[in-house]
Amino acid sequence: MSKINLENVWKRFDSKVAVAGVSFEIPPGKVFGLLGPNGAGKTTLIRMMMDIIKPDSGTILFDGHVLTTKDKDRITYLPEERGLYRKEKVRDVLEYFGELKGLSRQNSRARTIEYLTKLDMIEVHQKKIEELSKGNQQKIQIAATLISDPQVVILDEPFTGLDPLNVRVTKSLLAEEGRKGKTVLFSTHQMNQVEELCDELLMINLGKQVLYGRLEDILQRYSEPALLVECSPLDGTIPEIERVTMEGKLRKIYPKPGIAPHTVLKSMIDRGIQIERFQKASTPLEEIFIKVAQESSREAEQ
Amino acid sequence: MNKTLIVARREYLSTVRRRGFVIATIGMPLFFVLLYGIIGIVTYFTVRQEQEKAETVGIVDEGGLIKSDLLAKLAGSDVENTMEEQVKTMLQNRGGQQLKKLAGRIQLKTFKSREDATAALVMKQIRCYYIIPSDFLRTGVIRLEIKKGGLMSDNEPGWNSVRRLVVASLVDGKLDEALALRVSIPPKLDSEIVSDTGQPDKGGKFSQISGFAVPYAFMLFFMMAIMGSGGYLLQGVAEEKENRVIEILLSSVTTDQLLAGKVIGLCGAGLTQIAAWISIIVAPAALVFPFLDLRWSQLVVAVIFFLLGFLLFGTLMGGTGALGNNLKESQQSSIVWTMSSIIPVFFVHILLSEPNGTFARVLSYIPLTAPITVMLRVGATRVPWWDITLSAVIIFASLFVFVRLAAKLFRMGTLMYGKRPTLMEIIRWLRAS
Repeated sequence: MSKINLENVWKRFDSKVAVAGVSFEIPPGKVFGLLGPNGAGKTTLIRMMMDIIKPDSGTILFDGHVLTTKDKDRITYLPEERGLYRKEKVRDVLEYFGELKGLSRQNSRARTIEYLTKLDMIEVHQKKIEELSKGNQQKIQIAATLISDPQVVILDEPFTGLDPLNVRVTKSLLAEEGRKGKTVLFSTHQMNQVEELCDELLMINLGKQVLYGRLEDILQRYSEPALLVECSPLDGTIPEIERVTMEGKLRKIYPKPGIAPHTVLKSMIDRGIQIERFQKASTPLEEIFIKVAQESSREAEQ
Repeated sequence: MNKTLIVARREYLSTVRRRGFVIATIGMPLFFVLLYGIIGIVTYFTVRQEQEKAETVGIVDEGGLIKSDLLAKLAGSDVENTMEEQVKTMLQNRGGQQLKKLAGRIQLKTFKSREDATAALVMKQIRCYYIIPSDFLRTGVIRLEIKKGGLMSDNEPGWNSVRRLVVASLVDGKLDEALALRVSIPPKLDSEIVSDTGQPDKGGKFSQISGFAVPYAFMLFFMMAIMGSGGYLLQGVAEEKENRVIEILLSSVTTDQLLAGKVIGLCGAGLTQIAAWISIIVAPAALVFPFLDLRWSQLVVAVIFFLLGFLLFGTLMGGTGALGNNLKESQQSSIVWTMSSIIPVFFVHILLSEPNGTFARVLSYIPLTAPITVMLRVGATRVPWWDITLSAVIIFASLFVFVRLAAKLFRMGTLMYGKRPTLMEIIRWLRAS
């Protein structure tokens, strides 16, 4: 298992600051989300992590040392804008990418067959990439990224342009990599994917780090101390509850300070209230994303 | 396997599998063989037809210089013979039957006046006519009246016949036979090519030409291969940039490995092409024409400089080609190298007339012009070995500089999209990096 550390990383393009002093750590075996609006600096950050471009200052460490050519074999990368060698056969392309990641020719061939079988695409191995449907080309692209069985998987907007079926395939492949203990980083705009897949996240805006931490902690930090309950009408006053508002057919219950959710639940049951659903009211990540992005943009303007 | 070699293998295979490459490698030499075959056959028959076609040329002898008995026997005669024999016969026994043609199939016809000759010219009975004026002995001028012809047509048809006839008439009976013959027929040059050991070269003139054939062919092959395979390199880089495969590649290999792999693969493809051309054109030619002198030393020098040149231009084209956003822009960026490679061709006359001269040497020491210059020089003469070695060392040394420079350009270019950089921007970046 491998971890990645970034410490005060800066990158400028002429007068524009693309990445401004970003520091974070991707712990080994975690799925990490990189969020940010368009032009936030996500791709630049990823390219620097992949050693495609060099940072102006700061350090990027892979398992505690600067990335070496040999380490590149253990990290795989899927760029945002994708394409493959259109005129070449599926098998040749996958084998080539496997070999470039340090697999022997024989091993690369075996992994190609294995992956194509897994994706239920073994019958297209002799076809040219351009002969495949767009959806299948996308699957091959994902396969080309994962074929070398890397320790670290870095994907720039992996869900962009995918149809729902391929989103599901990609998600299951990433989840599988996570389960296998691989370190996965992906950038995205789709918050539901982050909520579904990520353990930790970093949000950047205008090159600056604006949100970073465990997903659970962030959701809690930005959520109101309320409960969402679907139940029979609440007759009379319940001493543990401060106020109640309606959100659709759900009641949003604000417990008094210091009152735990299970105390509220017990009190409601004791009063014979029929409860269908009872959950903590957390702010969706999307709302947090918009709020944080707007706040940081305002601060930058000031 | 080394990653550079993995890239090289892929580049090589993807290039040699291209339809355009296969057509150029196998189809083009066959096409040229066929083309030149057809041209040869057509030319042969056309020339033969021309030779068989008799042309009538008029003479107006105003001074009465031409001996009348000679003229009478010349007119309308139709027997072929060699030039020397014709004149000899004419002088010795005045055998009119053998005085048909003095140069080509020319028939001479006399006219009493210019008016008669002009009328015949207008009626297309004669091709032209020569006037030997009455003051010829004083002026030495013979006048030709001829219709406007084509650019490539003979503008003095029958002149040799007329001139020699005039000379023969002038000396007839005044000199002894041998002297008269030498005056009428100017000296002929009979040259012999001698080999390095002083022995007559069995191939003669042909071996001199064929000695030049190998380097000359290599020069042509080099230019064609640089333009062809260089095009594939640019196409590959442009494609990889457009579809962003380049980013996946650069996450696995360094820019130096990628560029080196591409150039090595390209060299392999170029050599394959050369090998195919040699086996299709040169080898059969050597079998058909045993006098073709294919010297190993020349072949070795040609191959070495071909490889060095290919590495040099491939590296430079790869570096600058990466600056474009698409194939067209990549070609525009790298055209300067293609043009540089063919500079020596513009000076081919100087290089061949003075292959060991200062100018030829200077071009041999400039890395961009050296490959073709050296190939031409070794074909034209014996170039000192140290001279060839020095040139090779210069190219080799410059390769280190150019590889670094091209790798920098390649690194910047591969990830740069949008506006193409200006020359000043490129220089600034190179300095900054």
